[in-house]
Amino acid sequence: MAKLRGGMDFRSGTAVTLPPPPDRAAGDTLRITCPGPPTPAEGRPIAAGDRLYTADHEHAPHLTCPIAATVDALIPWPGADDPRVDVVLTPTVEAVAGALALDPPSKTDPDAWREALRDTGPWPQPRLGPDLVTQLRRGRDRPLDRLICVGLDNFPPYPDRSSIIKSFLDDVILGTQILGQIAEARRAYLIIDPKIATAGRLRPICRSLGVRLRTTPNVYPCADPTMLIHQHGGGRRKLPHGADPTTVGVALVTPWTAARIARWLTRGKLDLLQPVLLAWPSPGRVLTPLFAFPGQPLAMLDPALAGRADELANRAVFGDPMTGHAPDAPIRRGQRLPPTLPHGQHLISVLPAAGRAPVAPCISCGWCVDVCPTRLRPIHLVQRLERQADDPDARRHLDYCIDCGLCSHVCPSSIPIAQTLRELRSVSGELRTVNDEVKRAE
Amino acid sequence: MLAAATAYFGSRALIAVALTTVSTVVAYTLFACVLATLRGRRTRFISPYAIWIGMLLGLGMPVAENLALPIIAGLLLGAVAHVVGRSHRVRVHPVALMLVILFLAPNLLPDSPSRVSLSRAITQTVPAVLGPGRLFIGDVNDAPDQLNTEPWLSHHDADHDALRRTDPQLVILDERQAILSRPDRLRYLLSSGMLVRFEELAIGAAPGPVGATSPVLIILLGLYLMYLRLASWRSAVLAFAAALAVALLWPVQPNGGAWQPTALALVQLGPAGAVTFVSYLLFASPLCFIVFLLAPSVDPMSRRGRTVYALLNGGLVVAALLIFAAPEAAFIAPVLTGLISRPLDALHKSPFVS
Ligand code: SF4
Ligand code: SF4
Repeated sequence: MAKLRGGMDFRSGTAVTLPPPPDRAAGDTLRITCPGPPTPAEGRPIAAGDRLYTADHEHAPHLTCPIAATVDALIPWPGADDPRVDVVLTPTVEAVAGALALDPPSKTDPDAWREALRDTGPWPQPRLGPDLVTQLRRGRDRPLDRLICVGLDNFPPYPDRSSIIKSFLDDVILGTQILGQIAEARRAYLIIDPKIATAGRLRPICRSLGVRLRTTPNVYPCADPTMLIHQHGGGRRKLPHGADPTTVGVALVTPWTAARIARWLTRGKLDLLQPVLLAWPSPGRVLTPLFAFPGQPLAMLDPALAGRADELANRAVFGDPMTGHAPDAPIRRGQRLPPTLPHGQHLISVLPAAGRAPVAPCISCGWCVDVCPTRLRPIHLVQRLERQADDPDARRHLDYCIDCGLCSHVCPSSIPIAQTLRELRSVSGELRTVNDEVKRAE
Repeated sequence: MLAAATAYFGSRALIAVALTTVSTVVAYTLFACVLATLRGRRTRFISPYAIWIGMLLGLGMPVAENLALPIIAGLLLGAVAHVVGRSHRVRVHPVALMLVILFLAPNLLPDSPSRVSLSRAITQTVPAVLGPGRLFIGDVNDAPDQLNTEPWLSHHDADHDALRRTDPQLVILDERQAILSRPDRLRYLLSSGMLVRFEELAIGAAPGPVGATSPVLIILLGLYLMYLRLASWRSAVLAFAAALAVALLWPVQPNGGAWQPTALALVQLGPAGAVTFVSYLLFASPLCFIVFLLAPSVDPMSRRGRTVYALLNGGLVVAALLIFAAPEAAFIAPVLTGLISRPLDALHKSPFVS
C-alpha cells in the first residue's frame, strides 16, 4: 500500500523489547468490569485467584480476582439492558504479586486445560474473535483444522504483538504448540512479519516444536481475522467480519495468550499483569511499554491519561487511532468515572489535537475503492444501503467490511464512510450479536 | 499553464481565461443557490471546483476574436457542471462536454447561413502567437496577414507583436493523406515552415488552446497530479498505448490504392519520418490535455474499470480526430467514455463475496 494521506503508510514499525513483568507491583485500587453481577458482595474480602464473576454460560470463562483485596463498591453501568458491573477492589497489602502461584494442568490433558483456563479467565483475544475459552469449547463441537497465533500487529506501525514476540520468543512458540494440542487442532501456526528481527531465530525453534512458521508483510489491516483467514486459511474459507473463526475451523490466539500459557507451564505462575503500549502522537516519543493490572486507572499508567472518561474521549482511545474506541466508564454521583484498563487491551493511543475537515460531496476519485482491503466499493455500498437498508446483496458485501477505517482515512471529501457502514451494520441483528460478543471479549 | 497562456498569447488570453472563470463561478454559484433553496440546504459561496473547471475551460480554448465566447462558455459550463461531472450520475467531464458543444456542434449542423454565422461569431479564433521578443506584453491580434514560416525563435518583426502561424493539429490532419501517399511531403511541410517545428510545438509556441499548446507542460502537470495521486500513471500509459495502436492500425488509402493500416503506409517514410508523423499526430492533438487533465477526474473508481476507460479514451481520441479531421473532435472521446465511466465501476468485484 502506498503512503496514504495523513502521513501514515501503515507498515510494520520497529518492535520494542518489553521489560520483564515485575514480580510485585504497587497495591493500587483496581476497578474491574464484570460482564454481569459479580460473585463477591460489597464490603467482603477476596483473595487473589478467587472468582470475581461466575459465567452463567457453561462454556464462557469466569473472571479471576488478581489481588487480595476488599470489595469496596459495586457500580452498575448505566442503561437498563447493560448487565456490566464494576467492582472496586482496595488491596489489603501495599505491594501485590504480579503473577498467581498456581499449578498448571498436565501438558497432555486438553480437558483439564480447558477447565483450568475457564477458571482463570477471562483470556480475551482482542480483535481476533471470542475469548480463548469460548473458541476452545466451540472447537470441540466443530473440530479445528488449525490454530493460528497471530504475531502481526493490530495497527502497524505500532508494534503491539511483534514486541511481545520479540520479548517472549520461546514462550510464544511453546505456548502456540501447547494451545494447538489443547485445541486438538491438526496444525499450529505462528504468523509473523518477515522483517521481524527475530525471524531467523524463530525458524529452528518452531521446527523443533512442530509449529509452522508463516510470514506475511505486516501492513495494516493484515492482522484482521477476515484477512488472515482469507490468506492463511488454506483454501477457500471466508470469514465475515466479527464472526467466530471456529465456524471455519480455525482458532486465533494472540502472542500474549501463548506466552502466558507457556510461562504458566514453565514457571508455575500465571501472569496477571498485562503488557500495554502507550502510543503517543509526537515523533519524539512514540511508544511507552509497560505492564499493568486490568482494572488499573489509566491515570496510573501515565499522568497524561488522567481525567474522567468523557474528558478523555477526544484525547485517547483504546486501540489504534483509526478504529479504536473512546474509553468508557460507569456513572457515579452523576459523573462518569475515570476509565480503567480493560482486560486484554494492549494498546492505548493518545490522539493528536486535530480538527475534522468539513464533509464534501463524493468526487468519485476511487481512493476508497483502491484502499479497501476486502476490495469492496465502500461509497457505493453506503449509497446502496442508504437507499435500501435490507438490500440482500449489499448486506452480503457489508459482512466483509472489516471496519478498518481506511476508506474514511483516504477520502479527500472527508466522508465518514467507515463510520456510516459501522452504523448501518448495527441495523442487522445477526451481525450485531457477533460484534457485541467480540467487543465484550475486548 | 496560465503563465504559458499569457506568455504566448498575451493579456488577451489572460482576460479570456479570467472571463471564463468568473462567468463559470457566477453561473455555478447561482445554480447552486437555486438548487440549495429548493432542497433546503446551505451552500458554499464560491466553490473551488467551479474555479478549477472555469480555468480549465478557459485554458482549453483558443484565443477568440470575440470575447463573448469565454463568457458564454463559462455561463454554460457553470450550469452544466450541476448536471454532469465527477460527483454526478453522468460522469462526463463538463469541460469536455462544453468544448464539444462549442466547437463541434455548429459544424455538425447541416450547412446553412445561420450555422456559418453562429460558428463564426462564437468560434472565430486567432491563428497567431506572440513573437519571442513580445512575450507576455504583446497583443496577439497584432499579427501580419501573411503566414510566418521562419523558426519562431529567430523571428524578429518590429512592426507586429505576433506572428501568424499554422495550427499544427490542423496541418497534420489535413495533410495526413498526402503525407502517407508521398514520402517527401512531410519533409516539405517541415522545411517550408508550413508545419511548425517539433521543438516549437513541444514548448507551445503554436496556435491552439491557450493553455494547452505545450504537451511538455501538460505532461509535467500530469506528473504532478500523479504525485498527488489525483491521476494514475497506468491510465496515462494505457491511453497513450491505445492511441498509438489506433493511429498505427487506422486504415488508409495511400495514392487512392488499396486500404492498408497506417503502419504499413508509414514504412515508405522511413523510421525518422514515421516517428515524426506519429509524434505530430499525437502531441499536436488535445490527447495530452484529455489524458492528463480531463480524464483522471471522471475516470472509474476501480483499477480494472480505469484500464478499460483509459484504453477506450486513448483509442477514441485518435479515432475521432481521424474521422472528423478536426482537433476539437478529440473531446468526443472523453464525453463518450464519461458516459460509461460509472457502469465501468461494476467491473470491480470483491473476491470475498461470490
Ligand atoms: S472500513 Fe472501508 S476500507 Fe475498510 S473494509 Fe470497510 S469499506 Fe473497506
Ligand atoms: S474516497 Fe471519498 S471522494 Fe473518493 S470515491 Fe471514495 S467516497 Fe468518493
